[in-house]
Parts: sequence; structure tokens; C-alpha cells
Amino acid sequence: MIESELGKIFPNLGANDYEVKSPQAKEYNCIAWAAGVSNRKWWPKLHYWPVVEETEESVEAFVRVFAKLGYEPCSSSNFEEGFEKVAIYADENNRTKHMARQLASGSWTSKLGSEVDIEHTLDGLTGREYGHVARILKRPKNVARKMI
Amino acid sequence: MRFEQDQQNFIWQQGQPVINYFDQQKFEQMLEQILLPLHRQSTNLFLEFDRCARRWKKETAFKSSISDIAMNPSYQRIIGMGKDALPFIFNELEREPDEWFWALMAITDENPVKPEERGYIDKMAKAWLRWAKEKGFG
Repeated sequence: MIESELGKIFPNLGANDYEVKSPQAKEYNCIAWAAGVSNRKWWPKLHYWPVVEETEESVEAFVRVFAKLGYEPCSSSNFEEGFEKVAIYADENNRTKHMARQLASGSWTSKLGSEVDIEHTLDGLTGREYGHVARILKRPKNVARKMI
Repeated sequence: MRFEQDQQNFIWQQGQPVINYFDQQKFEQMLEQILLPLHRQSTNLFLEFDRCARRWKKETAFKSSISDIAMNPSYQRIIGMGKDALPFIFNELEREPDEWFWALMAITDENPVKPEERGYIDKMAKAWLRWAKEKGFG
């Protein structure tokens, strides 16, 4: 069921490009999941947001918020030992649509809306639903998550 | 159209009779002109809400952006129903907490969710259900 839906929503996600890793859950969303949180939703204004003054949904605003969590922009999506990476997906108007987090295996993990978590390729989620990969951010693994 | 005496129960509300006599002609008049249209209107509104809610959930199941979720046409149609939609939304919120918060804020112009509760779906739902009870919806 979910597999056939995923194929329709994310045409760039090949059948071998992902693996479903959790049951459906409404308690958290992709942004929280990218930040390593699975019991709370993150989104400016309506839900939890680490920097309440940042109310925009632009990629730049999300970069500024994640900078407070120790992340800085980087150019490569390749896995780097000692670093955690997250990706921001955005539409053509530079509005944030989704975030994913890199795993130690080098693949990426995402919470898909109110549905499941999957492990996937970075490009697999690009397209009409989440747009393109607009930024890759990284931080040293030992950075304390003081603001979560 | 004839109604048997025992069908008078149809117009009892919360243990109190809406009319305390049985006048066949007046009863039929009230039924045709007031009760049935009200019932039809209420049923139609619920069916419309249910149709929109189902479509909204289906169309936004994979969306991450709260703005995208709230700007969905079916969700906007529910907001457009105004306060008439509130009992249906509170029923949904009680049954299965979901992203109804934007609609509730838009319709009521209020937000009973405390800053520390934001993001916790269950706590946000409970805050709204408390508010609903206080306002007489529960």
C-alpha cells in the first residue's frame, strides 16, 4: 500500500532506493526528525521552533535556525567522518518543503509528512512534492544539542 | 404523511419535549418546515466536512510543510464553513489528533495552546478540547 503511494508521490524514488523504517506516526515531522527528535513537531509559528523570532519558511531562515544548533552550510552531501549532515529541500520559490538527515551509512533518513520514516537516497525525494535539494548543512558530531 | 403517537419521541431533546402536546397537524408542519430542513442542513454540512477532511488527509499525507497542509483547498473549504465546522473538528481532534490547529485558530481567532505545549500534538489537542468544553462545545 505505502510502497505504491510512495512511487506515485516520489517518482525519483526507485523501488530499491529506499526502505521503510517505522510505522506511520503523527507525533513528529520531518524537521524534528532531521534534528533527531521523535516526540514533537517542529515548524515556525505553529509548532515548536528553536528560534521563535525566525517565523519565515525560507531556506535562509531554516539555515539560520539550524546554525543555532551548530550546523553550517557545506557543499558536499558525501558522508564525512565526525560530522552530522542534514539536507533542506525547497521549491522554486525558495520555500522549505522538507528536511532529511544523513545516517552513518551515508544514506539519508526522512519522516514523510504524517506517514512513515524511510531510509533513502538524497535525490530520491526530489520532484514535485519536496522540490530540490537546496542546502546541505553539517556540524561536528560532538556538538551538544543545547537548544532541543 | 401520518405519524404514530410514539414517533413523538423524534422531537424530544435531552429528556425534555420540544412540544408538550400532540397535535398532528402542527407536528407535521413543524417537521416539514423546521425540523427536517434543519436536520438536512446539518447532515449535509457534516457530509461536506467529512468529504473535505478525507480528501485533505489523503492529499497532504506526505506533506511536511505546515503551510502546504493548511493551504490545501479542502482544508480551506473547512475553514470557510466557519463556526459551523467547530463541533466536527473537535470530534475529529478527540478521535485522532491531527493538524486541525491552524483551522481552529483561523475560525476562532484564538489559540489556547501554551508556548511550552507547541509541537506536542496530544497536548495541543487537549488544550483545544478544554477550550471547546469551556465554550460549550463539549
